[in-house]
Amino acid sequence: MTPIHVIFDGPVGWYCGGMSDGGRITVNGSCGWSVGENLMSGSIEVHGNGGSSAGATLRGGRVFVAGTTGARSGISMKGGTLVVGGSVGYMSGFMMQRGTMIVCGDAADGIGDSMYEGTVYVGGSVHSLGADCVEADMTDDDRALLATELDPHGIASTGVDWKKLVAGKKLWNFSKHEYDAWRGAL
Amino acid sequence: MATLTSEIDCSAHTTREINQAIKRAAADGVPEIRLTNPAARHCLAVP
Repeated sequence: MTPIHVIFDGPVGWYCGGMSDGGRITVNGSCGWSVGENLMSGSIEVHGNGGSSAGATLRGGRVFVAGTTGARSGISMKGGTLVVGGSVGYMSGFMMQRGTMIVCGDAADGIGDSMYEGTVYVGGSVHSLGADCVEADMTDDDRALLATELDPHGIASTGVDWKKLVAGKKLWNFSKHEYDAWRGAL
Repeated sequence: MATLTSEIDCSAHTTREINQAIKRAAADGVPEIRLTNPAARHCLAVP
């Protein structure tokens, strides 16, 4: 059976498509907090702006927001892909555990704070990195992934100074020798 | 046989009714459902 395509002609509020498992949702407007919260599979496209916590605890599937999203976008992601065409607010990617977040615009303070795993790509400026979030080298595979994710939306992935952010892994295990790192995170 | 497209005017229904209609359409094999006037209502398309 073909998964259903749900189309909203207008803005939606909090938690649109939350906990969905399969199917496709298109929002022709903006959305409130936590669009696609805990999405298991399927896709959500928002042709507008998103609120805070877009794609929170994403487990699978794909959330695309064409505009800008608020604070803590992609918080505690456990899989899936979150693509933001604009910028994201502070502490986005906080405690990310798996998955991929692509930010085509700027990232506000504390991006990737305390992330365990997963990858965050930022095309614009990074105001500041969160605790234990470090920049890694971009590879050809990374660029191929960005092209695959962004081309369908008509967003150029080339000619962009992409920053790849990953976990520094210093917070994986407590070490009294890195007390300052823990104190900074907590 | 399921119709190709179903349309719901959200202004005439509660959120619960809308979500139940989406679930029913998915179960019936309706490929596309269009919802008008969502009016920024919370928790839409939540199973």
